[in-house]
Amino acid sequence: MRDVWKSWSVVGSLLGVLALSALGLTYWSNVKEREHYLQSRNFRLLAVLASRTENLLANRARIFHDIVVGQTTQSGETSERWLETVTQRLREAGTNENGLNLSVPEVTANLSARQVRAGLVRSEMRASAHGSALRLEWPLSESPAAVLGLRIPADTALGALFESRVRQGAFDTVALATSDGTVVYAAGRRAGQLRATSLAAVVPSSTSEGGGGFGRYASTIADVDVRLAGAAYRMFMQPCCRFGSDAGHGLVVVGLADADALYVASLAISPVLVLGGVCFVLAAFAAGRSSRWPSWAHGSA
Amino acid sequence: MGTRQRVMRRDVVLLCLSSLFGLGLGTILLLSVAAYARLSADIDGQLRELGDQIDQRFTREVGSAAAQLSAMRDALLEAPCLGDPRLSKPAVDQASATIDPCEALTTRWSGRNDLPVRTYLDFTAFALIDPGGWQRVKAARGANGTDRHVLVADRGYFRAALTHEGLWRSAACPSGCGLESHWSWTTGKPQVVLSTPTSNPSLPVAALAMPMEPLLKPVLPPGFEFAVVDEGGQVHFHSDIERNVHENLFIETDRTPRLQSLMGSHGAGLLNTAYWGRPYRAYVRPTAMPGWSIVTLHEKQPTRALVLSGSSLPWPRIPCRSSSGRFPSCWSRGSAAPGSGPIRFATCGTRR
Repeated sequence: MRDVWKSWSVVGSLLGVLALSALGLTYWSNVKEREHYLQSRNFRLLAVLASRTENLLANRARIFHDIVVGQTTQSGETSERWLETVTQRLREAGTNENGLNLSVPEVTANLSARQVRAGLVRSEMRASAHGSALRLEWPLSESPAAVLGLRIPADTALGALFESRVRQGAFDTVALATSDGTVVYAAGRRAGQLRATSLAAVVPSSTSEGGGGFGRYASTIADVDVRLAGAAYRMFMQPCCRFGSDAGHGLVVVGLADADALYVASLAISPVLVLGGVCFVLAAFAAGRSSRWPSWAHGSA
Repeated sequence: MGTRQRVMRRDVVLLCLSSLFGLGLGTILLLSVAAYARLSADIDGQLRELGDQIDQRFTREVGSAAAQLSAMRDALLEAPCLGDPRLSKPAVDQASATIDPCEALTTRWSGRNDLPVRTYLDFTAFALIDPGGWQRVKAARGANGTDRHVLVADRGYFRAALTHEGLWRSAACPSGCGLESHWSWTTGKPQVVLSTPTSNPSLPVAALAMPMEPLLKPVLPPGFEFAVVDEGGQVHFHSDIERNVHENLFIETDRTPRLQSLMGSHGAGLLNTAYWGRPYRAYVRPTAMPGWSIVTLHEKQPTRALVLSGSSLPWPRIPCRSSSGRFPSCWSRGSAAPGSGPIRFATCGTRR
């Protein structure tokens, strides 16, 4: 009896170790799979946000472009006078009543109305930012200084979109920044801190040594570990708003996900699995108890 | 406790306490499971009812709009102004597209006067479009940018009606209709456009833009979401309008086989799925539009939290939010206990 018990304990222990190893491996693989899923989900969400931001700007540019192109020019008419008429037409079209918030267009060079209109028709739009405003620009001549610009306040244009993404829960904070790290608009828990700093300062110096600093990450789809206000975050980045052949300009959409929350989400076990485990343990106890009960009751070990 | 030891009083007390503890734990577990099952059954019913209501409103809205579009198209095709030779040549730019020989009629239509039928008066614009994609004859509620004649050659609804591909037929739209959800190029707002082919080769497409408030300005109780998706999983309408046409439901639900199979077979049913990485309960049902399905969703985490917090037994009253749109699907369970009767849908804040 003693030998049987002894061999059973060895076999049992071995089986237990094997079972635990198998469970551990399954869990580890599940954690890795979940990590991968959460990472790709966050990139996907950011890609959708970038695409929506791009569409939003393209849509406003198109509305403006249609109005401007539809506005004829007189011979010898100055661009200032012509733009006044364009502004009047923008008002009549009710663009700002529709929440588009297009500013008065401005030309940065001394050109005639005809030259401005021709430049707008010919050139490709590019997007940039100035402070907390987005800026749509159309180059009007070979000179880089001659542009037709239009400002859009970032908070009114992007507020609903970015807030809605924060509500989805994947990111703690989402932001739109220029490729040098200046934050144009941010929404979420860390929006205030992000607005007060530059993303270039948030990216750790060790990762900036490779050359280009934040700019290096801003031109590619990347994620990097950062610390913000003492908390660890994973920063996901997605380039955005590069229209036509405009590779030098453009913006970047950034999502900050709490590193601890991401880690905990990766470790999560399905509640069904937990309940199954609890039931299994209870059943094992009950089985063990019932198999020992008769021997205890009859007084023989 | 050895084989020859006597059972002591202390052992009996400990046994009783353990039994009581075990019994208490078991009771809590059973009550929680029962409460969760009851809540889940309630939510399943609500998901079904939400799906059915969305389908009813979607079908009704599209049916009324299709009837309005067909009648306006037919009335305009018979109008003498359409014989104007300027319309026989395709437009080359916005200036030439804006020459509208039917302006007298379309202006009256813009003011909702002299319409051939009045089944759908909420339309924002009606247009006849030439083969190049320029809107040539247009009735729109002006002064907000919608009155400009714009080029819509890149729009899916235009291409569908022009090529007669992807159109669906119904009693209200016997010659076939195409539907597209998109962001307007004149207002920047989300809108829906219904298109249909015409018999006039110079103006082969008629289109009606509509606000579709039941789907574009939905009012839902917290925790509930919906999506109207096509057979490829593309989201055309979502309760979060920012996701309209920018999301693929199959990808975001991690390609749940049951969801794909239900949508592929145009069937209806409930399922568990992960959506954006979180567990959801979902209900799928087909719509009147061929290949399109309505998916209603409810996140499971709040239900679980509700059960674990111990406050699940009295069903929480979901406040009926004041509506900014016309979607009246707010839940009000009133004093009914969970599972004790059908859910009542309250009409709240409906405005015309």
